[in-house]
Amino acid sequence: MDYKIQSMENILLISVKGELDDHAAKAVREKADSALCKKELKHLIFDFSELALMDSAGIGLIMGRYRLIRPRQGKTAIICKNDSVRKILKMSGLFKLFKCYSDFQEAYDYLTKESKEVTI
Amino acid sequence: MNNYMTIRFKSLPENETLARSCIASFILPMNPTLSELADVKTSVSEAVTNCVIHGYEGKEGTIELTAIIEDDMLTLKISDEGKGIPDIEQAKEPLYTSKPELERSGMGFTIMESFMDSISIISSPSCGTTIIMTKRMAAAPQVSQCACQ
Repeated sequence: MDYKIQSMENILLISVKGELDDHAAKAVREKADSALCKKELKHLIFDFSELALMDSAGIGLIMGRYRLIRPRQGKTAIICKNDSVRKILKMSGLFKLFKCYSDFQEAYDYLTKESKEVTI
Repeated sequence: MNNYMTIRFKSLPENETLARSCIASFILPMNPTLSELADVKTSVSEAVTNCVIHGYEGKEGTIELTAIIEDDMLTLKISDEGKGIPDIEQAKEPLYTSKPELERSGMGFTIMESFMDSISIISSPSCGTTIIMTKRMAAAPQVSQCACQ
């Protein structure tokens, strides 16, 4: 597992490659939460485009971070291509809360477009 | 084809990767599709995580993984000698978790139930837990085909 946490404008981008299990989720969670101490970060993008496998720990990771940004009126987008990962997201009911996007640009457009609409 | 293996390992979170790699290598001769392979690896991941987090609660213990191939049928048995499950029906409920503080989603058993064909849970308090799961692999080479060659 390899991961990267980057902030850009008011978005925190969490990219995870390889296999996301409970052990891996712990490491990502710690880094993401320390980045989220910055209150200007409002939106989340989970980039799972290079994720080969995810178990239920991934659900916990997404929901935990979602709860942190919800009071900031933030939105969450997931970039996902893998069928097995998609199946788990669907099964857990996460698609009722977030949408899946095929690449970063699509996810970014959704978040920035939506937030502009809100400010108008 | 008939084959079996048993591995025993320490209840370390790092060993979730080991268990997934071992089962993936073991079932390769069954010619699993990418989706079947992911289903089996994810189910093993869930079961082993349960042993580490719930069975032993982070304490030291041994986890045993047995896999049996009988033609196109895969049977997995994952056991711990940890604290056991007091209420199995409750544990199986989607979104139920006894450890919300660890950000467990409560989806472990639901995922195992949907990714495998069958699952049985044998557990009693302080006597450990054994999970037995089966899955039929669609593309597994049949014995009759081998005989024709």
